[in-house]
Formats: sequence, structure tokens, C-alpha cells
Amino acid sequence: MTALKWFALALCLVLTACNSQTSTQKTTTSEAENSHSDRMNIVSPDWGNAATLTAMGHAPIATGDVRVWDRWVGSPKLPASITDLGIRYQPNAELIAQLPVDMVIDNYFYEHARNLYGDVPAESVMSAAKGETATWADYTEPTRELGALIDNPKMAEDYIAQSQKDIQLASQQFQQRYPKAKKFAVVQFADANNMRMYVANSLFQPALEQMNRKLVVLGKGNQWGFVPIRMGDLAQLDDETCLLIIDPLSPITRAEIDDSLIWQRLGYGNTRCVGELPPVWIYGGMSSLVSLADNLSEVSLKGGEVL
Amino acid sequence: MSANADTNNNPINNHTDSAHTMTLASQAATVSDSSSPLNQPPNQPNSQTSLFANLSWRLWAMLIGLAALSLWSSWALLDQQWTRPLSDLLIPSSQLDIASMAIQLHIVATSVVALLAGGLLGVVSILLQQLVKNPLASDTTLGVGVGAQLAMLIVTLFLPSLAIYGGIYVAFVGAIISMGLVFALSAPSRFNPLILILAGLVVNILLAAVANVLVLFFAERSNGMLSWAAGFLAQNSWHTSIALVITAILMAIVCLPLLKPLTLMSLDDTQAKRLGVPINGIRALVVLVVAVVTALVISEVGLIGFIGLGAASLVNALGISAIGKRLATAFGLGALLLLLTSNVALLLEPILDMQIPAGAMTGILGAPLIIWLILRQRRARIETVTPMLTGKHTSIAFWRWGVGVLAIIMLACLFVQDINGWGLSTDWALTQQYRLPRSLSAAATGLMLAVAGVLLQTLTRNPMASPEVLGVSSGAALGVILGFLLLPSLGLSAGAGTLLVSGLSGAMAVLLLIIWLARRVSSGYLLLVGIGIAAMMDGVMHMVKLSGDPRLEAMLSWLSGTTYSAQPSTVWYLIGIAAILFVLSLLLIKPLRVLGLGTGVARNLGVAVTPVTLSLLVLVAALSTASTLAVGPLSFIGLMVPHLATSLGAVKLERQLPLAALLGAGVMVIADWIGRYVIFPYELPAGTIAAIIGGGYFLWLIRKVPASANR
Repeated sequence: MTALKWFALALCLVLTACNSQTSTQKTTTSEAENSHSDRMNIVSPDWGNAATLTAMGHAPIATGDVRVWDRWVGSPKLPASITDLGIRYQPNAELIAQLPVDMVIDNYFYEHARNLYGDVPAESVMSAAKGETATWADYTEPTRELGALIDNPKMAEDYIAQSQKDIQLASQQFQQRYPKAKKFAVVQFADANNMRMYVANSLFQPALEQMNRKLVVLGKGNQWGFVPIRMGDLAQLDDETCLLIIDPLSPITRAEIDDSLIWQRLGYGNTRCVGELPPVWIYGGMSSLVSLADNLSEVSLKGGEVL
Repeated sequence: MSANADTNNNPINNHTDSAHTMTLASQAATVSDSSSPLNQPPNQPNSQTSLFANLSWRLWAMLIGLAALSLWSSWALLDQQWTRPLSDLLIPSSQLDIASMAIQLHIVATSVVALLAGGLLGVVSILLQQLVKNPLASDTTLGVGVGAQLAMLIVTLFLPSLAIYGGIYVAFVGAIISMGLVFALSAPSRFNPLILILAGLVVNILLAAVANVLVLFFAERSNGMLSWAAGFLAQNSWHTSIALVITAILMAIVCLPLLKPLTLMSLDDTQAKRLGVPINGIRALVVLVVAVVTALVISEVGLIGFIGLGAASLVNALGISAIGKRLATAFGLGALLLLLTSNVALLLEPILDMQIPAGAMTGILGAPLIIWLILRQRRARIETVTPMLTGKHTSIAFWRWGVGVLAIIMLACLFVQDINGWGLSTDWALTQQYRLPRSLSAAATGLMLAVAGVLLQTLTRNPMASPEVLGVSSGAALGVILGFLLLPSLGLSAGAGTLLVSGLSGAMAVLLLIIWLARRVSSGYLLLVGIGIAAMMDGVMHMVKLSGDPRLEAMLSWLSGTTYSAQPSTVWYLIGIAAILFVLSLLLIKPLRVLGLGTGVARNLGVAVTPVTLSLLVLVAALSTASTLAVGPLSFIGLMVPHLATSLGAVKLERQLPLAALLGAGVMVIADWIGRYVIFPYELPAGTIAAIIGGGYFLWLIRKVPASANR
């Protein structure tokens, strides 16, 4: 009997020790599942999920194209320990096989690489509009899916709540700086004459909606959330609509835009309002919405009636 | 190609016991109705007097037809977009409202740019043709445009500040370098027409391969480049129009004093020299003019292929001989051709609901245009000097080569870079799952391409034939792309099976076209078909890229030739297919050898020509498609390896075929290994590496082709 008591005591001690160890980390998984660590090791070749997972506090152990992450995704910053998988659309399967990975999370752009992961389970999570108009739910749902996949639904819920707060904060900040700027058109230049205008089924719709602003569009977009337009089409926008240009914008294109007769006549920066936003990952999830709101709260708008 | 030219041509597998390891077996195909096919400008009519009225009538009919089409398309465009009175089109832009101004620029400025750019490219091509006396020369075929484009791409990616206002200089340097490379390679053979075009072709494919890798690597950064590379003509200011007007005027001024020396030079260099023409100075000047103008057009509007070639070929088809007239006509035809293309692109935009670059359109329209043109050139006066790299016949220890290839595959699987850096890795799980399948599929692909190359070179009696050069691989890739895009709308899933069928039909269509043409035109012209098909694929790819479908990134990387998707479960199928096709090709060696002597001879010897030819074609189509599906259309294995086998002493077809198969496998495995581990975890596509290795080797090889004896 005494032996049993001692054993029970020892067990309690061990358990509390374990508990104190894991209390710093938010996940508890049985050790049988994970011999190498006590959290799910995720590999996400895709940037959208990688960014959302990182912002959530559960960064993947590897993602693709780490070399240009800062240029295209910006925030959140990736942990220094992350492994580079090579080109995003060609994640180095041989390398993935050498990593202690529990799960690959991708989306349907990566289906061609699916059968290269061997026996590692792969799940698809896609943040995109379900219908013709992207809604807040289209971005919260995939985030919850990610939470379920990493066995930590609470982390996802906390992150969603936090994101909503962050976006509201950005919205207030923006309201103080530019109270008059209510309507926005969002474009990204391909070259000086051709651009993509992001429309209702892109992530700009829910982001601006959360900030009580309106997204102005010219036409219905394709399934990727944009409609190709030419510079002359911008004349159809009214003077109150503020044009947001999403970077990156190559210096060459910039010089060509300045040379454009139409651009000069449109008067962006003088009679019309224009602003330039740092890159945001267009096909991203919740973290792209937050980055976008943060970028917008710090944007400097020029011209028009907004100031 | 006429029957007598057929029999005059040396079969590729002619068996020489010459002591030289590299000799040029060359022979001018005497065309029945020409007294001396050399020393004449291309397609100069023999009797100008009787034909002259007829010719000028045809010229006018063609010009009027083209002009009418262009006018009609312009009118349709105006009708569709311009709501104000027509006279308003020409009032200063600042007096219009913004929307009208945008439309005015979109229609008028774009048309001006199209006319001038097209015209200039036409003139450039004619100048090039005068310079090298070769009706196939043009800015597209000699790689001038690609050089300029690659230079622009590199600078845009790495030194954007340099490219902002220095685009023309950058493009000029690129154009000069690529042109210099092509000329330097063909100079030892005294600008042998086919060697020149081949050098141009190889340089073209090489530079395109490098550009492809850059785009793959900097996909997002080169986003703006993509639309520029596709050649958008749509304008939003008058800058480009003004720049091109000035260029055109300067060009006219520069060309006038050149007319006389060029006329003299087109007859005979030595005589021109005697008459006091500074030949080399004139040549250098022409090269300079060509490079400057091409660079200017490219830096202003992007890459516009085939317009120059089309215009120049039309001029040749019309049989205009006076150089001044040739240049003027080329300007007019080029201008009208590009205007028409640009208008068609603009008219299609609202229908297809996407922006269509004129450059991609010229690429797509280039192939049919070329085919039509070369069909008109029945009695082409191209001096078909056939470079043949013959080797000294030596006995080959096949088992050694076989063991060598196996050793290479073993090494490629063992000596790798992994998560801990370089080392010998014996992790069987990784090897069996990733390394072996990829090395084996590279081997199978290399083998198939090499066999297809040998078969095609023997069948067409053209040492430059190969699945890549003749456009068979491009045809297969085009079939796959179209299948990928169109099958879902037909209610079929785009799986491996359906894609295989669509790829096969593409390859087969190109092959049938080539064989059909091979009976009608000289072998040199056949190469143009390949260029055309490849450009068609490029055009379609540009359209696809611009459609903004992110899934096509995968397509793009596959097209650059990678073994990325090799699977342990499927690689054995690929090896099985390769083995079966290889055995079949071995069975066809005998009739193929006889066919190589010419169809007439083969018939007399009792070979059933049509069935044998057809079965060979099916075989080549299957080989090309299987390899294209495995690693994409880009590589030089099919062109290079047969020559390599010959130079190693496998002169007879029975020996050339198996040795080429082994060599092809070996080279592809090495290329694949380099691509996979040199910049691990990033990858370079095996096809691109093979194209660079093969292209480099081949350029080194043709450099050694001496001048033909009959000059």
C-alpha cells in the first residue's frame, strides 16, 4: 500500500512537472503522437497560411520562397529558425521528407505537389471568397480550420478576436487622420498601361468593410478577385474615390506612369486622392487583412478633397 | 523540295572513312532552274522583264488587300469605341475629356506605334537578309530580339534604376551581344545560311531558357516584365510614337547612302571590293543600324516576333530585287501587318475579356504565316549546304557506355546535398522515394529525346532536325496546355491520360505538317516551321500568364523542363514506355536507313515508303510527347546527342541509335542532378540545364564547321 502511495505521489509530481512545462506552451498533445516535440510541426509551402499561422503564434517550421517573404508579405516576420523550401510552387519534397513534419497545409494552387509528401498528411485551407462578394466569414472560417488542424481551436479564436481589435484600432487611427476618405479603388500595376483592379471578391472588400469604408469597383472580377483594366478606365471613377496602389511597383513602371499623358490628366495627387500601400499577400488569409488595415492606417494620401 | 534535290542531298548517315574527325560534307542542292544559286540576292527573279508587270500587279494586289484589311479593322475598332465625330480623333489630346483622350491614345497612338514598329522591323529584316544573303534571316531568327529582351530582363531585375531611362542602351547591348554571338559562330563557315540560322536558333532557345529561369525565380518581381515581354502596343502617351517617328526618319536618311554599296555587295563581294566598296565598314554599319533599331523598338514596345520575317518573306515572295524597293516595300508590309495584328488584338479584347498583347498575337499568327510563306517558296534558292559532323568510324564498346550511365545514375542518387549540406547519403527511404525516381525519369527522357532526334535527322535528312528544333516538343506542350485549359470546359477532367492524348495529338499534328512540307520545300525552310510553332507556344503561354491564373505557375515550371513530379509509382511506366519505344525504333533501323537514301531509292529497293514513314512518325510523336510530358519541351538533347554519338565514332545508324540513347540518358541525368542540388533547396529545371549544356556544346561544335568548298 505504501508503495502505491509513493507511486501516486511520484505520478502527481511528474504530472505537475509536465504541466508546468507545457503551461508556457499552449498546446498539449499526448507524447505518443509526437515523439520529437509537444507541438504540431506544420509545413506550409503557401504564404497565406504560413503568415496566418505565424501571426497566430504557431509558426510553421518551413515555408517556400523565404528569400522574398519581406518583399511580398512583409508582416508578420518569420521566425529565424524557419526552413526555406525553395520555390513556393515547387516545394522541395526531398527536404520536407527530412524535416520532423506532422502535417503539410497547402491550398488548391499546390495540388500538383500533393503526391510528393509521401505519407505525411496534407490538408488544404484556402482563404478566398465563396461567392461574388468576400465576407468577414470567408476569412474567419479558414482561420478556425487552421486552429482545428493544429489542435488548438482557442488559439484561432483568440487570434480572430485580436485581429478584429487590431483592424478596429487601425480604423480609428485612419478615421482621425483622414476623416473624409470614405471610398477606395484598389489597383496593382502590371505595366504603365495595364493594371489589376481588385474587386468585391478580393480580400480588400472585407478589410475595408471592417473599417467602415467602401470599395469601389469597375466591373465584375474573375475568380482570383480582380478585373484587368487600363489606365484610361480610371477616368470612370468619381473625384471622391481615393486610388490605392498596391506595391510592389517597379521603378521602371513608376517612371512610365509619370510620363503617361492620361495619368497627368487624371490628376491623382492633385485634384484626386491617391495613396501607395506596401505589399500585402493578395491570396493570403486573416493576417493579410490585418497587414492591410495596418498599412492603411499609416498610409499617406495625397491630393483630392480628403485632407 | 524537288525530287532531284532529294537525291542530290547526302544522307546524314553517309559513311565516310575520312581521316578527319570533323569534316563538313556539304553539297549545294542545285535547283533545276537556276544557273548559279549562289551570289544572288535571295529570290531574285531570273527574267525580270516578262515577270515585271505580273509581279508589280501581284505586289499591288497584296498591298491593297493588306491595306484594306487594316483599314477595315481600324474602322471596326473606331466603330466599337469612338463615339465622337471622326475629325475629333486628330485634335490635340489636351482638348478632349479624359475618357475620350484615353480612347484617342488607345486607337491613334497605338496605330501609329504599330505602323512604325512593324515597318522598322521589316526594314531591319531586309537589311539583315542583304547582309548575310539569307532569306531566313530576320530579327527573330537571328536572336537579335531575344538578346535585347534578356538584357532588359536582367537589368530590370537587378539594376532597375539603370533600366528606367536607359532601356534602349541596355537593349542595344543585348542585341549586339546576341548578334555578335550568332555571327561569330557562323563566321568560320563563311555565313553558311543554314549554319547561321541554326546558330540563331540555338542562341534563341538558349537565351529564352535563361530568361525562363529568371522569370521562374523572380516570378513576382518580373510581373511587369511579363506584360512588357508579351509586347503590349497600347499607348497612353505620345512618347513612343514620337521616338519611333524620329527613328524612322533617321533610318531613311541612313539607308539612302547605303543603297548603292548594298546593291553592289548583293552581287558579289570581291567585285564590290574591286569597285571600291568598303565592305567590312558597310557590314559593321548595317549591323549597328539593325541593333540600334531593334533595341529601340524592343525597349519601347516589347518583343514583337515575326513581323519583320513576315514582311521580308513577303518581299522575297514578290520577287522584288532592287534594294531600295525592297526596303520600302518591307516597311509598308511590316507596318500593315503589325497594324492589322494590333487591331485584331484590340478587337478581341472585349470578346475574350482579357488584355491581349500584340506581341503574343504575332507569335501565334507567326506559325501559319510562315507555313503559308514557305509553301509559296516552292523553288526556294536557299543554298542547302548541309553541315554534317561526321566522325571517324571506330568500334564502340557499348557495355562500357551502359555501365557508365548506370554509374552516373548511382552517383547522382548517392552524392547529394541534404538538410545538412553536401555528402554521401545512403538514406534508402529518401533515395527510393525522391532521388531514384527523378534520376530514372531523367534518364528515360534523355533516352527518348535522343532516339527521336536520331530518327528525325535520318528521316528528314536534315542534321538540324530534332523534336525541339522542329517544334514537335512545342506542339506536344501546346497540346497539353490547350488540354489543360479547354478540357474542363468539355466536361473532361484534365488528368494524366487526357493530357497525354492532347499532347500526342499536338505532336502528331506538327509532325504531319513537317512531313507534308518536307516534300515541298527545302530542308532549311523546315526549321522555320519549328521556330513558328515554338513562337506559337510562347504566344499562348504569354496569354495564359497574363490571364492571372495562379495555378499556371506550375505549368510554367513544368514547361521549363523539370523532373519535379516524378513519382516512384509512375517512373516505371515512363521507363517501360521508353524501353518499348526504343526497341521499336531498333526494329525500324533497316527500312529507315534505306529511306535515308531518298524515297526513290527506297521504293526501288522494295521498301513500303508510306507505311514505314507513317510508323516512324507515330514513333517520333510518341517519343516526343512522353518526354515532353515528363520534363517539358525545352532541351537540346535531341539535337545534340546524335551528333555527339557520331563524333564519338558511331557513324552507322545501327550504332548511332543505341549510343545516342545511352548518351542522352547520361547527359539528362547529369543535368537533372545539377539542377536539383546546386542551389538546394531551390531547383533549376533539368530541361534548362540540358539546354544550356547542349546549346553550349552545339555552338562549340558548329564553330568548327569549315567554310564550304564551293565558295
